Amino acid sequence: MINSKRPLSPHLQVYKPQLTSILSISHRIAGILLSGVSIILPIGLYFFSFGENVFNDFLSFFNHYLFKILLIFIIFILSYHLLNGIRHLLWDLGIGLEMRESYISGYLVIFLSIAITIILIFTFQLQMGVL
Amino acid sequence: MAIKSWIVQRITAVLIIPIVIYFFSYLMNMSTLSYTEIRNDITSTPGMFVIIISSLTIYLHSALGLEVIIEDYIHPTGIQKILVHISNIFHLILMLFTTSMLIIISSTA
Repeated sequence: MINSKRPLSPHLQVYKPQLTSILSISHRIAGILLSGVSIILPIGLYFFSFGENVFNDFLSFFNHYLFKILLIFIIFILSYHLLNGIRHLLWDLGIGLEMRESYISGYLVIFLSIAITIILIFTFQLQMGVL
Repeated sequence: MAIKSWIVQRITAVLIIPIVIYFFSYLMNMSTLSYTEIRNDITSTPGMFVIIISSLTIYLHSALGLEVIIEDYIHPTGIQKILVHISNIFHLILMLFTTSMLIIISSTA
């Protein structure tokens, strides 16, 4: 609900960059980017509806190295947003709110996002030869 | 209303976790499937159910997330309202388009 009296976030440059604030804003940036990426579902179905040849032509776009780089980036931001989202859900349950725990979970999210991205790149390469 | 949005945002976030895992595991096995097999999967009752629920969950989560971001960082109320409406309409179109494509694919199957 839009309310003009609602307190608004201060400008980002007021804060001194630190892990917790960087993860918070990057979670939102990743969310915005993934909102854009989500368009791939109806677009994929659109090309699929035209038959096998058109769908294969659509998939062949992903063979270009620029799309491969983009795909790796999407996998990373999706892993990151998903893991950091789980971190936020745990906070909502009152788990991991202490400063030390918050930093540990923050570093864990970064490490696991990178690890999942690497694992998925190798898996996609082995399974489909995509990346 | 804001509390309802907050709760729906959390519920959709929880639902998205298995959805993402399912989609990625399916994508990894896609190379072993033929076009007809994929079409049969998509147009089957469970397949259509998964895609419709997934698109509803993803686009609802996305719309609510963007609404909060717009409200937090776009301060002029008029522009804020317009952007939230544009975002909501855009997400609704994406959801309807996904459902329409599913109907078209299943009708040609």
